[in-house]
Amino acid sequence: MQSTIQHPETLRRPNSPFHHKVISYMDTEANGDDSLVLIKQGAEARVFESTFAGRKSIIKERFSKKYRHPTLDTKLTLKRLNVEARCMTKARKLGVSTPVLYAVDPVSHTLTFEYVEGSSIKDIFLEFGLKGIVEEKMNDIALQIGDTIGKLHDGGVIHGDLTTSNMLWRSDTNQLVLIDFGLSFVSTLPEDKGVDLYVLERALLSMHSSCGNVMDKILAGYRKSSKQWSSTFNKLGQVRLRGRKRTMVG
Amino acid sequence: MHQQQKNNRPPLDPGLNGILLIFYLLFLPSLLFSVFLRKTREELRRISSETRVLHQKENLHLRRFLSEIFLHQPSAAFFSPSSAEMKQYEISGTTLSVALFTEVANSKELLELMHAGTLEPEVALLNASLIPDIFPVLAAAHKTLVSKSRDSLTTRTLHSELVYNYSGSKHISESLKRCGISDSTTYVLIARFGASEEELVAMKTLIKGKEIDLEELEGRANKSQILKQYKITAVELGISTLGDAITCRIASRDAL
Repeated sequence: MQSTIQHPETLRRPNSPFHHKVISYMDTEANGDDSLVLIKQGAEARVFESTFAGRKSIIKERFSKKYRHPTLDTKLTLKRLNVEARCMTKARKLGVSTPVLYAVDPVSHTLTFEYVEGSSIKDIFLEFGLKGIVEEKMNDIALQIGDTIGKLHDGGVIHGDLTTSNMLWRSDTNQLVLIDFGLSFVSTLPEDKGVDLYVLERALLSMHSSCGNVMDKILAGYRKSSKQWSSTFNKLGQVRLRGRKRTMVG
Repeated sequence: MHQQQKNNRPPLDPGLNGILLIFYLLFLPSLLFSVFLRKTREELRRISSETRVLHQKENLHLRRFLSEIFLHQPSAAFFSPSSAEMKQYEISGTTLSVALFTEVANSKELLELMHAGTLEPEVALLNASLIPDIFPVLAAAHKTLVSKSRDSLTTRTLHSELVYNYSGSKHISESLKRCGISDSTTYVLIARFGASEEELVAMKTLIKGKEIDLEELEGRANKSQILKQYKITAVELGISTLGDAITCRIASRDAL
């Protein structure tokens, strides 16, 4: 939290032969570690914890990939950065809770957003698997997931990477927060919505099979909030039979 | 016998022993301690530089730039001792001094001075009824400082850039008109980057009005005007505060 540590004058003992060395060491190292802490490194981006104008924040930096052609690389990185910023704000306009965006920097390929206090749905479900399911909380979460995705899809936003690790549970308000809109896009096709739900279903099956049938509860929540649920569910049935990819070419 | 031998020693001997004793008692431990300290420090530095090299491998200059911006990030806002209500915030190593005025009588003159470019000191004057919280102003200030550090200001001055960034729109003249002050504005937020002590006093005398606490921003904000300016819907307000909604728009403007 405290990014600039003010060393009290009492620390500076002028008589000690080592005082400046010790203090200067602390000045550089302690501050550097305090203000920018790496918390996760993925394939596309690094995530740091920091502070922004007095608030705890998360910095997501998309790094360049050396194996890609430089022109393609900058284009892709910038596109995904902008897409993420755009879809996050669009999701908020649709009433879907996402972290507040603090800053977008196209030069350093970074996004700065609000630090959400709470754990990921993945961790909560894994804990359910280990210690037994808290039925009430489980239903609340599943219903909120369905409701959130329904709102998102009705507004024409496809998340593109719906997994339980991309969902957070805000601990103070018990509210679902969607993160990582890097693969999102705008579409109203039932096909895209069906695939979006299918990806979530596969993720739930592989990660949280011990939690029982969460997907049915999620779909029930989806059905309540989305007006176009029937065409989406039809497509989901077709996608289930053939898999995520539409054609088998390539 | 021994006793007698000791007594026969020359008078210099005990003195030398004393010096040696002092040496062993005081100097040696501190010497050892300093060696120990240096070793630990080197070890720590080695570890931290190793981890940093690992993190930095791909984008060294980027990392340096990042730390430049975020290392001296604003901590908590601190209270300026020179004035009762003016607040100072630290953003990217620069301070932003902010004060809120109501019943401002000389907005017309201020506007004329600003158009002539003779406003001394140069300040940003914001229409405070569009500000429900200070945080979006700080986000806009951060954005302003980043573009200043890259010499890519869109408007003519640093402080007009702050007003423009706060608007969350790309239309410059419209932004300055809406988020800046007009002839008839009486409720004004004044802000300046890196103000000195004298400038703080000058800032206060510039405006003829009643200074009030920043806490009053929320209660005095014109909600319907904000909703219209930033196109905020009721659905969004269900999951977000007014200030956060504005912050999102300020941040994502250039990505849209």
